[in-house]
Amino acid sequence: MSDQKPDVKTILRRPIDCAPKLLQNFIDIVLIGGEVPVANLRRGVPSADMLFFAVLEKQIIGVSCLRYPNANFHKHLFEKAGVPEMYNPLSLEACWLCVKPEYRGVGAWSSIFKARTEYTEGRPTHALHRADNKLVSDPVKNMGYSQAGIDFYADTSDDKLCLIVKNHDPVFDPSKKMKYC
Amino acid sequence: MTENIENLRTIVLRPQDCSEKMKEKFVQLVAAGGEAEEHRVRYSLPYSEVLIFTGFGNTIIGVGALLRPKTSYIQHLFECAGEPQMSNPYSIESCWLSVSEAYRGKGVWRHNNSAKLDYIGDRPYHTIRRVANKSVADLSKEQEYVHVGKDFFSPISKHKLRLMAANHDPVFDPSKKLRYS
Repeated sequence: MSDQKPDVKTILRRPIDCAPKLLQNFIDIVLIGGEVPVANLRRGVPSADMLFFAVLEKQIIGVSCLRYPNANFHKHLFEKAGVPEMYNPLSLEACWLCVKPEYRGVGAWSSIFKARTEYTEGRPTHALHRADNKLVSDPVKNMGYSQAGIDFYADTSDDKLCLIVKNHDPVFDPSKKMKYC
Repeated sequence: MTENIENLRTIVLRPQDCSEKMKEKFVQLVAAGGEAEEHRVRYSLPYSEVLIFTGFGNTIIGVGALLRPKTSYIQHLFECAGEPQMSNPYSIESCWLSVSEAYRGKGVWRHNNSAKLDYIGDRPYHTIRRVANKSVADLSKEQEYVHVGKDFFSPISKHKLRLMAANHDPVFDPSKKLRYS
């Protein structure tokens, strides 16, 4: 048996460029993970910055998203983590990562992560995961993320949460902007 | 709050940061302007990058928006204008500008536009105007724009249209992207 992993490709689509069926497919896959209420997805998917679809043999086997969260919630996370000075309104949240159970371990996660890293390059990003989810916390720290502040409880979850960041200044620098170059 | 130009305030918000009441006011003001159909505004509003509100205190009297339209739609516009090589998938569309009739000619549009330009920075953007609408199709009033190609008819409108763009390279440069610096 070959040890070679199948060739998973990740495609990027802005929500407005997706057909309704593709958006529904995205939502259905995230719902498999059981972490996000459907109402949040229906409301949030159209305003996402970018959607990521991991594809294997023409099948979508996993998805993820980059989005600007609601500003109040975004600030709240950094306050709860004890690092309000790190809050950056231009930081994209990496979220809604889910791989269909029958395709876990084939490389979808790393394919999505690679595509996401190429897309964001030096842009600040952040993500939230359950503090006890070691399946996520250990790999992401090897991928350039570091924890912001301390683990915390927030109103949105019963679980203790960990906020991780990438390309964040220790203190937000308001002179930095998104530039086209 | 005195209805004096000195007291005008413009705020730029992502749709996810707007209350339902603000979004409804936005739709009503755009629909009242008569340039966009209400159902289209409602459909596309969640996909917009930012909504721009101008008003006195809590009274909103002028709005505008920046939308990243479908990539195929941007291509269509530049093809119709006869300059397909200028089409830029990063170009945001300045649209849905509307000022409440009672407040026209009092600097509301200028205030709204100034905040828009500040938000955009050096990013490419474009707008389409009805050629017959002399008050907004006159490029001398908005010198940041260049007239792209020639005026045209398109299936998206029964009117002759003018495409205007700013910060666009004469030929799209695929090495450029949005960077944080």
